[in-house]
Amino acid sequence: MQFRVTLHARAADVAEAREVRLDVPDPATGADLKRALAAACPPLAGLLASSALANDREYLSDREVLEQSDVHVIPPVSGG
Amino acid sequence: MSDSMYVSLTDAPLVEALLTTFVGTPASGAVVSFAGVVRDHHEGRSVLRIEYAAAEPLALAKLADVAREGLAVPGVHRVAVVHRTGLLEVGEASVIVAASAAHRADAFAAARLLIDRIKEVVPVWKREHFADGSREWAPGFSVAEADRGAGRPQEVRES
Repeated sequence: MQFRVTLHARAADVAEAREVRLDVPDPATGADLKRALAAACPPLAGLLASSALANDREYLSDREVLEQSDVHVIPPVSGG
Repeated sequence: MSDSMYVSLTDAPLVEALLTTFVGTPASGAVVSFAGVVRDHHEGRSVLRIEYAAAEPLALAKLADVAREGLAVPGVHRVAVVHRTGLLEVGEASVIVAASAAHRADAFAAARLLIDRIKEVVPVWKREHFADGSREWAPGFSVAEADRGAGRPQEVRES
């Protein structure tokens, strides 16, 4: 599946990109997508370990197969 | 969304009175609100302003989840949570929470839970703009799956 990955905050700065398009063989889990992203953009690898994947409604599991092509990378949050 | 909770993510200035008015009910003897405000320093460095970015619409969905957690506190009548985005000057509120209950202990407990959980789970990021011209994202709390699974999210001190 081709994923459209949106990077936020520090992740966007580290990757020097706000959006990345990645092909990952089916079935792709969250962990598979993270590995592909780290391979495509090595400086992101460290931050991905403390980041979550998410869709528009929920954080996603790294272990489950991704069903949507739009995925967000959520680095450590600092609101409030 | 129930009529017992009000949730908003906005780039407009926050008005505390809107929240305290919303949470008030005839049965509520206690209304507690908390505002997080942009301060002029961070770890000894002078801060000019803070930029807040959010992953929308996930951030709004997570604010609503937090509001539901607040409503689940025993005795709580209503809750309200609002978070600001954009570039904020020193003295401006970045977040306001409010809760009502018959008695103050329950309202304080709910307000405390609301602000703590916002900081832990809502995908919002702040970047301090320092007087020396540098800009840095705050370290924050990990929402990675391993950290979510461990119970409370982990604060990331270095990244």
